[in-house]
Amino acid sequence: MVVVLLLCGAQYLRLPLIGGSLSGSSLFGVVTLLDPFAALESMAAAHAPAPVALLSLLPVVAVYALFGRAFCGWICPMDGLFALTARLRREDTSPRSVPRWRGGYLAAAILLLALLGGIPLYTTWFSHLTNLFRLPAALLAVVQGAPGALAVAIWSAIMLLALLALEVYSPRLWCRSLCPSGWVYGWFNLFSRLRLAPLSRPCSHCHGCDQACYMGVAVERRIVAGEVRDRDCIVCGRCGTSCREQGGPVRLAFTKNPIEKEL
Amino acid sequence: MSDTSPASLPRRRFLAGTALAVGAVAAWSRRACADGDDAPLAEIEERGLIRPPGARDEREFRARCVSCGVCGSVCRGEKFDAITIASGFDGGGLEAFGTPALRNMRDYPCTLCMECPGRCPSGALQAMEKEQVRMGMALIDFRVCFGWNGDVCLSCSKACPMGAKVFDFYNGAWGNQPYINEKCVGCGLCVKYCPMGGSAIKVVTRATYRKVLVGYQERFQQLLNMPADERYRVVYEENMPRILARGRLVEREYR
Repeated sequence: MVVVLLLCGAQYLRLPLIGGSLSGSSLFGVVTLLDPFAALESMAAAHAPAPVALLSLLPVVAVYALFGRAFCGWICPMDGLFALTARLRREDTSPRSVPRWRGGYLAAAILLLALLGGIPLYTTWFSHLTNLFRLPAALLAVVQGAPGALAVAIWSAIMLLALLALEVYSPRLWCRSLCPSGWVYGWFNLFSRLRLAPLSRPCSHCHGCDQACYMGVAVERRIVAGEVRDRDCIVCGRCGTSCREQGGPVRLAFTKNPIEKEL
Repeated sequence: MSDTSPASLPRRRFLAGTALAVGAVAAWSRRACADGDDAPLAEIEERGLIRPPGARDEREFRARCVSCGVCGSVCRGEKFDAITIASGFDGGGLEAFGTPALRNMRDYPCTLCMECPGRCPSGALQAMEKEQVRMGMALIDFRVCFGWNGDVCLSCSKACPMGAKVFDFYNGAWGNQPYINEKCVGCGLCVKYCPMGGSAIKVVTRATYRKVLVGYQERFQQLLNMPADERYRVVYEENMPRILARGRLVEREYR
């Protein structure tokens, strides 16, 4: 995540490494990338796909098909900010149980709004993928003589703070139940290559993995049942590191066939 | 903690102060962006925004733009700094929030390097030839243009990247009298290099251009067909005080 932030940060020093934000970016001036949910919203608002948008989706979809929802666990800056927030919280609370399907309804509502309103409202105003990078960009614009951009910077800051406030109120509620981008990425988990690996040593049923997972995945149940795909899994690996049998029952790996052994 | 003790007063003050600051900045930015009396064609009110090159019609542009910032980033990387972020309070309406726009053509016009259209991930900006760009239209303010008030100045046409086909010269006794025709793409380089203080050219959106065109062309024809003594009065009594007040910025002229 830090690497991504550094690479993206170079653009503010006029270095053409990664330009743009996590909603849409240009890699070294050669490849353009587009966030899948941003693409959906944009094409819904325009009532038609754009060849460039589809082209920009390809590398992203390819990576997600391989790594599943790993973006959330490894690249999303909110993951790091939420982890910091968790450390600032005195109490250690596990995520409250919230039904998973809410993410889908919110995503659908946003796309319907884009279709009817003709503007990708969520990605432009509310998406953390946009706001995190628009904040320094807008501040830079102010410094370069566009005072109006300050309003954009302030808005982006408010949106990020609101997410952090939500995190304080209910840990990972955003990631688990609300974030429409994450909800879209979750679907890639159904056929991606990187995921929870099956048991190679007997599980001691300590539930350490369940407690470590802040996405609310019932890790132990899935591992024991041999079914390893979960749309909430962000492949962060905490289940594996907290597993008492250390790399036995629960680990993340690229596996060809999820069910290789009898338990 | 929901008490009304003095401990909560600082929080209220902070919120009020922040709201006041934001409001002040918004008001200030509107003033800063509002053209003063010094600006060319100040009576033409521009409600829209000048978009980066590669934008086709405004509705499709707004639908596809996801405020990713790539275009602004590459413009900054090329050191042109022409693209800024619209806040919604400075033209374009609230729906333009977060979208890229060119604000200050006098200092940071678009140079038509055409790097941004090829890098827009969502297709809001589309790659195209320079001639196909439809950023806006440049309008010359005949009241302060040197070429319309007794001088021969070719700075704007020299600065124009589209070349001679954009400029029509109605050379006459009162100067070379340039007219920018419809081949103009609206990049704004002429605005920057105009030696008139505050510039004698204003780039407007195509929509605004369509609205003002009839009146603008009427004034143009009026000037061309004006009898000599009336033209003398217009130039020396109406225009000259303003021209002298704004001055000629020799360093601006296109070399």
